Amino acid sequence: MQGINISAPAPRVNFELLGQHIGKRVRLVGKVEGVQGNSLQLRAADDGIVTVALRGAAPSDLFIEVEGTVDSPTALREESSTGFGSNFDMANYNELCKLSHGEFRPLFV
Amino acid sequence: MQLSRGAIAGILSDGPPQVYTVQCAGVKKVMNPNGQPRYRLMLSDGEFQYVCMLASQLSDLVVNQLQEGCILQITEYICQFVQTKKYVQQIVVVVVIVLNCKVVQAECPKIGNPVMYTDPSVVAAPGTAQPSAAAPAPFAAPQHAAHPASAYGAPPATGPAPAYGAPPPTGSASAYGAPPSAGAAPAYGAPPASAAPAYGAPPASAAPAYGAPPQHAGTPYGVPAPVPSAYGAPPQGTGPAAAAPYAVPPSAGQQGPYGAPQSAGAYGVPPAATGPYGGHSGAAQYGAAVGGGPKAAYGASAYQQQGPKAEPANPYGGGGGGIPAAYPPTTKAYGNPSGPPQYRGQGAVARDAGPASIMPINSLNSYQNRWTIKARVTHKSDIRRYTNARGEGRFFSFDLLDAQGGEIRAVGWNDQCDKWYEAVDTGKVYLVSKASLRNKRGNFNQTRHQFEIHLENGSQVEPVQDEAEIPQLHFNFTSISQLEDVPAGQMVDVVGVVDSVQDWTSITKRDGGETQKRSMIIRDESGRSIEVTLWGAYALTPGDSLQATTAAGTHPVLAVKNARVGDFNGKTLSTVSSSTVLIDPPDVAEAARLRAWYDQGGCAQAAAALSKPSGGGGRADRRVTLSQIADEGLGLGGQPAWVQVVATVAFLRNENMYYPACPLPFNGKTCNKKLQDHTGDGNFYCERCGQNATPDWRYIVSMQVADHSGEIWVTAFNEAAPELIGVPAGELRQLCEDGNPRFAFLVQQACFKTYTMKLKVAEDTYNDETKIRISLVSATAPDYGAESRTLLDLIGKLQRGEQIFGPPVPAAGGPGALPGVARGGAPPAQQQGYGGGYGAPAPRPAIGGYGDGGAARGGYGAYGGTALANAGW
Repeated sequence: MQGINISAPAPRVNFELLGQHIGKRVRLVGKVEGVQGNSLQLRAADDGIVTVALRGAAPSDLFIEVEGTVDSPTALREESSTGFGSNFDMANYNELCKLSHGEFRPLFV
Repeated sequence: MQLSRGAIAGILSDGPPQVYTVQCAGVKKVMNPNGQPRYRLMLSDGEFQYVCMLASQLSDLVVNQLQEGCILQITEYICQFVQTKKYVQQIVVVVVIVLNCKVVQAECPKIGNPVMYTDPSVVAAPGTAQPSAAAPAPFAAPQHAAHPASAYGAPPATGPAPAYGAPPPTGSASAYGAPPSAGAAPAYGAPPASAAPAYGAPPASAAPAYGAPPQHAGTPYGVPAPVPSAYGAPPQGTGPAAAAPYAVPPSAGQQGPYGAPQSAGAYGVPPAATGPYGGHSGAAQYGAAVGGGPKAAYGASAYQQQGPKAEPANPYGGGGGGIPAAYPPTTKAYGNPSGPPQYRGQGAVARDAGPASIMPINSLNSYQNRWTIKARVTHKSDIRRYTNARGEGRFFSFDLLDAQGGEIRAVGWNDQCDKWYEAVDTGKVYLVSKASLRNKRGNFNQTRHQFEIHLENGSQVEPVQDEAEIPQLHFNFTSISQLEDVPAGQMVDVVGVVDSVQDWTSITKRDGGETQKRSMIIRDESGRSIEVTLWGAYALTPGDSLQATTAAGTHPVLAVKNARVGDFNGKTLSTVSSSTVLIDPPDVAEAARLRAWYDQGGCAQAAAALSKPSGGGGRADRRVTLSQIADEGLGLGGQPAWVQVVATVAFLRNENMYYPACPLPFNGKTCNKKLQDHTGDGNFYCERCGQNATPDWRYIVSMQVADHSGEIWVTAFNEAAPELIGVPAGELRQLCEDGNPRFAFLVQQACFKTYTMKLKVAEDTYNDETKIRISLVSATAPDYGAESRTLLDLIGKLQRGEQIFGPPVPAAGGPGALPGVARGGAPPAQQQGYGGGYGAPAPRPAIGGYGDGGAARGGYGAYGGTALANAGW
């Protein structure tokens, strides 16, 4: 059966969780704070600034979700990204990250 | 204890009003038709005694102190000349009503050996022989038919004289504006047609007797039975002076509020015209002195030197024909030089509407049916409609305030409503006369007056030049600390400095409509503060400006007249439809005083709050899961419950999704009743409106909605269904009729969409079966951010081991701050407000006005449950 590909899960993280996923694939939603050529500064849900090495062009939204590999506790190498518009509740997302890595981890891939 | 010598004679004469000390020789209780007890006293001055009625407001005295043998000081009284029929003749009796008295000694053995009083001088009243001559006034000593009316000069016994003044018994009560119940003749306080004339008694039959001497069928009231009293004879026509004797209510000039000459009151007189008895509006005669000089009054030809022919009886039936004469009789009460008083059936009796004497609102009473007041309209209500057993009706009301500070409400029903609604403007001064006084309907009227005015056919409301003396608005302030003891539901006036103002929020009313509310805190020098809620239009005006100025640092003074006390969360105040809200009123002394107090340091004073903080925000519907609706039995027990859920449409029944609705207006709204298509030919007929109409197709969709806890069936009407389906009912029907596949498409695509839904859960009885029916009031796209927060709340609770999805717990006070969750903005104005600690039920101001059958009683229902609180579910 062709189902969802879970061979390479990318859990949703915020800034402080990056350190635990070095070299692994993650998904991070952040608010665009600055763009320099191929590099993007994102403010994560818990206020840390993440540097994203872009592969292609970044979406033009205020909030974007970047899926990629963690290079260092502050940097992410993008593989794909999605725009989340300009209306996104970062507080909720932050809580989600905490819950899905904490008590309810078994519920998540 | 010394009794006033000659007191009885003095009272019954036209002497200048005095305070008399008399002894009470007997007390008898009589019942008014309206159930109120009245007391009849036999008063004696040691030599003579006479029967007097005690004004109803003094009835308590009898209960407490007044008893047989006690000594009374009569400070105010009035005499009424009542035409009555004793046996077969018309006679006139004097009825004395004690308006104010004091018990100076509670017990005393009987002083002297008083006999019933008769005035010898009256006996000979010329008129005696001919009724005609006589001015009505005289007291016809009842007894004795012997002197046919004569003695009293009572209106010629000739006439059938049915009841006095009663408009011809023929019953067109309307003629006199007699109480509608009329129907039969004697109404108006006329003694029931039955024999015994009861003087002035309100007809024992129908017609409410307002304070008229009890109807004792049979016993002439108060008439000194035995002695053929003299009074009857009108002063022998010598002119006003002569008229004196009875005609004039003793103090002519001054009697308290009632007897005041001007007022032309008829006490206990058979319902005179207007007034409580619904007597003819015109008639007043008694005493309508209107201006006519001091003695005006009764029968006395006080007015103009006309011979006593007064037609006293006028009011009552004066001549069957044209009665309703002008109100204050002013002159001419008798004035009928041309012969015997024209009673009944003898052509129109001229009644003058002479210059009305204005009486203070506070002295309006049920004994006086000819009055005029000059007052400013302080408040005018909208036209309200209602439906009761007799059909539908409408009314409007306005509040009047006069120079003495008296306030009373006036109501115009149906035709009167149409006639006067446009003519009356708030803020202007009017002369109101020829209307009837009814007891105030306490559940609709919160003014401080005992009565309310009902406009009638002959009523007059004339605009007059503004009177600076009449204040624009009269306040009776209660200090905030005193409010603590005021029971909920009562109306008060308050003034305070605004401390803080909150945003306005939208609230769903019990009937489904939405309105706005804005809360604020005010405080005063008593050191207390209280929450005031402005509803409806007031929430924006002056709510907006209040918020702006307070935010800017200025604290304005807020004065509210007729605010309703609520006891939710301590004590709170709310505006109702009859409230008036003023900001920094310039001509209110207390406001200026508060301003000074505040500026000089009051602002720094700590204020203990009467209203416990409820976290502000609006009162949102309670958020529940679908299974809770059944589990908790929401909606059972009479009151519908309004709840909010987030659910997904599972299934739409695709038959009977719409019905033909009547588009015609009914009672102010659209009828919307299902039209019948009996003939099957496409002609639709509305049973309620009684005519054919082109149908307006409206949705009535039965659907199943589900959430994680369960699923329920709801019905969506025209308010919510178009949102779900995407097209109006008429269009969907057309697609269906045409067999258009788009119909199936639309129905299907409505499924499996999630919405935030507001549901009304109510009991419905159909064919003896009572079931819970749930209707979908509105459906909106969910706000995922807010919904997420709510879910996070719940997760947090579960983590702490608290219960979620349970019945609501009364607020522990204070908005709860849920751990770790940033509350994004406060619940927005719309329907949101998920459980977040706010939304405890707000006070319920009753908006309702009048309306039989409880119509138009827009209340703001309590949403299904008590405080929403943190526990929120």
